[in-house]
Amino acid sequence: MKTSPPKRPLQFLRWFCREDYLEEIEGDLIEVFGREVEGSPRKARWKFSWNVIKYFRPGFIKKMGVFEPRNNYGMYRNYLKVSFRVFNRERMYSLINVFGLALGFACCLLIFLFIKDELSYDKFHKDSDQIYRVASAYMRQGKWEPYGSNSWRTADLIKANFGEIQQLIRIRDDSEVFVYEEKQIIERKIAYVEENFLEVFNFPLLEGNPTQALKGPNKVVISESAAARYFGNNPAIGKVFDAGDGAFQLEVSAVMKDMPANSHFHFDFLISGETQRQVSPESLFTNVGWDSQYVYIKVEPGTDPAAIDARFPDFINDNLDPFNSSNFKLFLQPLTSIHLESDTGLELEPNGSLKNVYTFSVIAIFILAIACVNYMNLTTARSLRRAKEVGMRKVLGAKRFDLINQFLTESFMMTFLAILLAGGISVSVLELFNQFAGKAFSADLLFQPEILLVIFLAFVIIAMVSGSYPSLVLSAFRPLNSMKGAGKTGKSGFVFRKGLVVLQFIISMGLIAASMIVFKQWQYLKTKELGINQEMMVTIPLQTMERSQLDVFKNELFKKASIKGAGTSNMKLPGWIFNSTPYKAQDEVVDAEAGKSMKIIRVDMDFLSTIEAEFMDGRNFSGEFPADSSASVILNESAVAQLEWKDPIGKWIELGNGQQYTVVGVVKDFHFESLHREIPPTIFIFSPDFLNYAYVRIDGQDVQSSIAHIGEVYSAFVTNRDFSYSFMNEDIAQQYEAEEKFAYIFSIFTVLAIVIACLGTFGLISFSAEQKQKEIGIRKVLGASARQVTYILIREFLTLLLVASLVMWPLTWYLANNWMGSFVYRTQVGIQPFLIATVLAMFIVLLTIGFRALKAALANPVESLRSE
Amino acid sequence: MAQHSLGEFEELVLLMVAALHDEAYGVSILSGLEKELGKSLNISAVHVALKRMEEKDFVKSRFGGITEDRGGRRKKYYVITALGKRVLDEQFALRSNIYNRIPKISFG
Repeated sequence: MKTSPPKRPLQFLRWFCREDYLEEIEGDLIEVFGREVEGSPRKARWKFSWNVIKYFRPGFIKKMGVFEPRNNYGMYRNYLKVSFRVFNRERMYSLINVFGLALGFACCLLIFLFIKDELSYDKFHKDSDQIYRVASAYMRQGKWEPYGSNSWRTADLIKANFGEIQQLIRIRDDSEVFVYEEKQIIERKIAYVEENFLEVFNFPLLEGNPTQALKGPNKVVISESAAARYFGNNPAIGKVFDAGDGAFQLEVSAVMKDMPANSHFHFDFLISGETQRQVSPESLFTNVGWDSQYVYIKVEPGTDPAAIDARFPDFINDNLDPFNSSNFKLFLQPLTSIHLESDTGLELEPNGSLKNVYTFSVIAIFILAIACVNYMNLTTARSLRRAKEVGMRKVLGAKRFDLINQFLTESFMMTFLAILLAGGISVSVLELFNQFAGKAFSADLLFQPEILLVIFLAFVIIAMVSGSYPSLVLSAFRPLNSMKGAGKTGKSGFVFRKGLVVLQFIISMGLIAASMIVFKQWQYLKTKELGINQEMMVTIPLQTMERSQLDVFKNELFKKASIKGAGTSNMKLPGWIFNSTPYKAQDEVVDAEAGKSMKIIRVDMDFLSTIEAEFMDGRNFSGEFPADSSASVILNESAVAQLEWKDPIGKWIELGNGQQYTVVGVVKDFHFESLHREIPPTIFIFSPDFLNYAYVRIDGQDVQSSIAHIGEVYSAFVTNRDFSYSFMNEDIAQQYEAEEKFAYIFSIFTVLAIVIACLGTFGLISFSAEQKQKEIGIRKVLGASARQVTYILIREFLTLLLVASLVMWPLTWYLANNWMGSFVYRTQVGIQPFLIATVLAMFIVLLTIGFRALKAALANPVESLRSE
Repeated sequence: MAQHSLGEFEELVLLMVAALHDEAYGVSILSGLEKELGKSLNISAVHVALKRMEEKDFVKSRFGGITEDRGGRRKKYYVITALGKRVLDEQFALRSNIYNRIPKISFG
């Protein structure tokens, strides 16, 4: 009886088994089956099936399902192999290519980190969208002047009048000397906060109870690092600080984690609000004009902040006498917007700038664009050499789609290399970047899942974008032409590439011009004549010096001959003049316009002469006129202009305190505040107390010993504080640190953009030289000189550059003027940044392409002409 | 000789391939072994061993002619390679070496 083996197991076997084993296995199985089927067919069938199943194991199963060996696997392997070979053959081009892309990508990565961090401020609080800061603004000289702060009393009234406010928090920042056993440290990051502070803001505690920690007087919550500073590894809870020179004690009730970097304030000590009652004068709590508190509110979910803002004017009129809605304003700032958008006269810490975030985003995109354009240009330029390969592939049956696939694969590979390199670059320059950007990014930040995802997306997008054009161009080669060696692409393709180069030129020249303008403005701010002599001026905070001893102090200073002058004032110069006073004045056209005010600065007799302010009229305060100590003022020019006085000397002016003063002098306007602000109408009033800063002019000859002398004298008068000083010119320059940083970061990215663009230009000139090989050969045969040929090659680029200039000039002009518009005092944009940018770009381009062009021009025409 | 490792069953199959010389294919090896060992074996085990040893270059294979009782499928014949032979020799030498060191006295 001839019995055949069971069908289904056999089918199963044929389905899964490797084809090269199948025949043997099938044969053997059938033979075994044939032997056994005579004895017992059932058993034989069963055994056959069982045997088949036993072959269902890794060694015998063919590649299945997703792993099914598609025949393009081999093709991809070939693509990779060819890519590697090409990479190796044209190592320089490839490295330029990858390096350019990596540079661009590294820039973007860092800028992305920066922007992401800037945008993340204060978002870590659980209900950050419900928290607002109540900021205020005063009408000063016809403009609203915003402040981040408010008074204690105002906050009380707000809480009572606005039902939608769930919680209200007052924060008062301060600095104080803390003493614990031998340790005595001036702490500058302390704040008086209310007991619900830790409920509204999410600052996790390491130890202590968040609901109890700030309840009651004399409690303090300290940060982890402050705890380490005072107590090392010992427990901090229950320890007691002496503060305010023995005025009060503070018991540590909790230890919190250090406030995260992306918070708009950072405090090491949170002192319970109750403590404030003991240490502050009563008027702090009753005077609505004493702006000591930063007021934060948490509103009911779904509350519209605009609705609260709309009710503020009525609230002010009803409750905040002497203020009214025409001279005082309250407004809400969303907590998360404070860091980037708030720029008021009083901020807890210097804030960021939304403008910078925008600028850097644009620069990042520009740089990436240049890098991608580069890649396209270089790849397409190199592609000519691969025309034969493309032709061969087409002849062997590659469809256009396959070639696109191939070049995209290559693009992915290059981009991948670039990204690895970019990662390396970013990590290695992170430290430098941190210094510039004022951040503390660590390298592991780059490996957050979120960032990795962005990198991956960027990888795919960049690879697709920069690979798209070369792959489309290359895949369009006609096999016959390309095999013949005349891989000339269409005219339109070249126009497109020229367009890309023009774009690169526009961006890089625009960046050159813009960074020069930024530098110019910064230089202008730094060097503008301020109307005073800020050189060799030493500024000393008086701290706890007995103010009645000031004259004695000054006399002691003058015992050294190198001390040329000394004056005091209540404000730090440079600095924002906070104090302002309403006034009435002689001969004034009394108009209905309320809220007229002037800034007021308290000075001693010698201040104006020490800083060398120039008098227009009248005289300085003097000891010879006893009335000066109580009834004289000096005005600045702007004040006189506001009063519309022709002959100011001897006229009277009545200030907010109800006293009348006689004007004895007029000083020329000088910049007390930074150049970001206009010179305000200012009254200088002679005052023996409330003075906080001494300004000492010293001889330039012996700075060290002069300062040592000042320090010695100072220490004789102030025993419980350390001597500290600063140079006025440095303080002044420091005000423009933001501009400086901006200018430097800008120029760094400009240089990078130029480098990357040069790489691209180099690629294109190579392309063009190669394409015109025959033309050059013929020209040379017909007698053209190397110089003429070089000129022909370069001409085209100079044209592109000029075209780019034509676009760049007005564009940058417009943007630069826009940017300058935000400065009160600004330099002229001028024409020279544009000229320099164009000339510089031309120079760089000539340098980049000159050698390549010359090389092409010097080539022996035989080489290029004999090939056909 | 890690790369020349030879499992116990592999060794048996290899021995059988060598013994059958030029007549060794799946079924003949199987029945030869079944006879020697006196128990029934699974053909798949033989194939696994053969494939492994082929990868290790202990055996090489070729297709034979078509025969009727296999439903038209060709046999695949295996022969031992020089390397395979050497490995067998080494294995044998190793075993007999150690075997010879067994002191006779212990079974006295």
